[in-house]
Amino acid sequence: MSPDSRTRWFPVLGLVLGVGLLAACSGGDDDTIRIGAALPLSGKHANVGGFFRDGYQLAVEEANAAGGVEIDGVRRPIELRVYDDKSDASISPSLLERLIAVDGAVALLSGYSTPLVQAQVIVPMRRGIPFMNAGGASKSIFREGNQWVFGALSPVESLASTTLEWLMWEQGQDRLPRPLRVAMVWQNTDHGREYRTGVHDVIEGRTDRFELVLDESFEHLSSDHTSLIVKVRSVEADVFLSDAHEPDFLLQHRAYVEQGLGHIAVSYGARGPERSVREGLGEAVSHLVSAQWWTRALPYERSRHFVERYEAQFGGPVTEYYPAVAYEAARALIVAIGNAGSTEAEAIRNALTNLELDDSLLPGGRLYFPEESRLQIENRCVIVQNQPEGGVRIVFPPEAAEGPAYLGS
Amino acid sequence: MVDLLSVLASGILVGTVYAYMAYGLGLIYGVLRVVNLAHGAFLTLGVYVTWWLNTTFGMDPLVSILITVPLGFALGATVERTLVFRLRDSPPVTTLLLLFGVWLIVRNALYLIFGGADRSLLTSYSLESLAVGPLTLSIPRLIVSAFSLLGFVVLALMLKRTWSGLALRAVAQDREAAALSGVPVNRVWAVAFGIGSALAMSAGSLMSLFYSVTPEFGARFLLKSFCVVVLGGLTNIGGILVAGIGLGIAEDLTAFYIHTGYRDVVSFLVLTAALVMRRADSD
Repeated sequence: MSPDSRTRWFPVLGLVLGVGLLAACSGGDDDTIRIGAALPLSGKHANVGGFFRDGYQLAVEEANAAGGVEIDGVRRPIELRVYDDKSDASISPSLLERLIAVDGAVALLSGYSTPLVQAQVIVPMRRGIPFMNAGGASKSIFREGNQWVFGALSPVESLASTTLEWLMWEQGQDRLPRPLRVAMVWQNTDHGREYRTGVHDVIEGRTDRFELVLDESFEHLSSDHTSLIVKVRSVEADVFLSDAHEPDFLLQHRAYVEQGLGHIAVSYGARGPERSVREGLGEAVSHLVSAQWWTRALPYERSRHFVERYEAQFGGPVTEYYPAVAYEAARALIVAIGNAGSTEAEAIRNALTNLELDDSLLPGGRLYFPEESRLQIENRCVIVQNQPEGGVRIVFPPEAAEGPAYLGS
Repeated sequence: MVDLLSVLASGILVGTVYAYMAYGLGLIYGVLRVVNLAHGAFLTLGVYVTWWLNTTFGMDPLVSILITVPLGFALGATVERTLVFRLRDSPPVTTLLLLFGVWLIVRNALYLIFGGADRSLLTSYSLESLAVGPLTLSIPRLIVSAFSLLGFVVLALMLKRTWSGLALRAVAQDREAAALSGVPVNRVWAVAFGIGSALAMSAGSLMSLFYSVTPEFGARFLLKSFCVVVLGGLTNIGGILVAGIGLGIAEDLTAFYIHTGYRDVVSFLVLTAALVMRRADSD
């Protein structure tokens, strides 16, 4: 054999070795039930992606510590496989394909942020694989006829509707005037539009309760909010509601403080309790009211258990909702696999559709996926208020409230 | 009336910020005829260096300018000497792509080092404001405006009254004639790139007083800088200041009297109109 003919076989040999290596890497223990996620562990959502990974991991570790999941009479361990999508919506779907095709994932957990999850859901819908979404609240993720995408995060509209429910409750306590003059501004994104819808759904037909005196959008990453805040001042509202992502929130509230505005209540949707917010605005965020998908003070056994476990493992205090919702979503998926008693996609999907966790850590204490809302949970949120000394206090719903809200003048 | 005055004052303050971040871009284009797509990288480096100095050593952002200005000059001159200079006879698109690459490298390096979280600076005067009659003016924005005007004066004096300024203007007007007159063109290019980058980094330092610090910071403001430079005249520092203020006022008036959502549309409409009119003039 000449040297030339020998080297001709090198590519073939390389291919065989490569395929073998890939098979060896992807195979692992046959007993293991694999679930996967493509998370933004680097890039612009890296900090939140880390929370999601920790929440998912905690749920998987708990399930394995309890002996795994029983399939056909045999208890099998769960393995969580996570890839970094670098906060890039063009990469995320291909990583999910890999999790299904190469790693043999039987179900998927979502990444974080509405645009990334919107890109991801195409894969489970096409492949027919259960997908548990804890990272995108927009209703646009859950399409007509959806059978595979389950939402553990209540819609963005719930942020608005719960905030208004709280205001009505305060009116019922004679602590707020009727009608209440509301100034609302919202970011011109899916998130902001859905927040606006939530406000309108509650306000319409309740003219004795509310008067909407400003309803205006603003662009994401606007270079200045002063003129908008001057407009808010000019309408002389009682309450100021805004829906903004963090960079816009920081700039908008800075302008609010600089212009010396004051309302009975001020809320920026879900913004407020984050540590980064307190670092950027200090005491200026005291008394801000926010609607949350979870908060550590919720008086549920499961919530307390999560806080203890999470802080023991990752340090604390846990001030964000992300790891809690991620933990709960992964827990629901694992329970559903156990209920299905099978790793078949349809069996898991049916188990998820029928799932009802009555010991949930989410507000309301119940996790379920109603078909009428295209398999997205529709729980009320919890309203918290930032405290001057740091931390937050639950002010609504009444059964979970830690005390009355401070209402400014 | 108070609302109108508030909006006008806000427009002027925002406009001077726009001008400050655009001076360097205009200077580099004027002297090198290079569209510096790495301008966003220098703006971003400015905010990160300032944020890091503040969180690590407690240094005030205003003091950190003493570091970001020389650092920006050194980095800019190095980029020009090691990269841009080698492509000086290449088609403009080559330099454009090269500088875009520099920006991408800086942005991704910042993601790797600091992650993607929004970060903020909080100083004792971050949320302070000054009452002037019926108006309430933000102290941090007043500070940045003062620096912007100071930067304009220093730059104008340097260009008019110093030998370096004369050399910069000579190279900007006619590179070959300047070289024949004994002006060290290569050195002038490095100095121009260095000054432009130092201005960008110092603008970033000051903007950290009210904007979030993220690796995408430069992307947020680069297009606005282009608008201001094109409006003001590509090589005219005074024009850039006027254009920045004009754009700031136009944006704020639009946001207040028409709709806040149209605020950013204004700059691009004005940019398009300016380009079309320039084209018509040159025809």
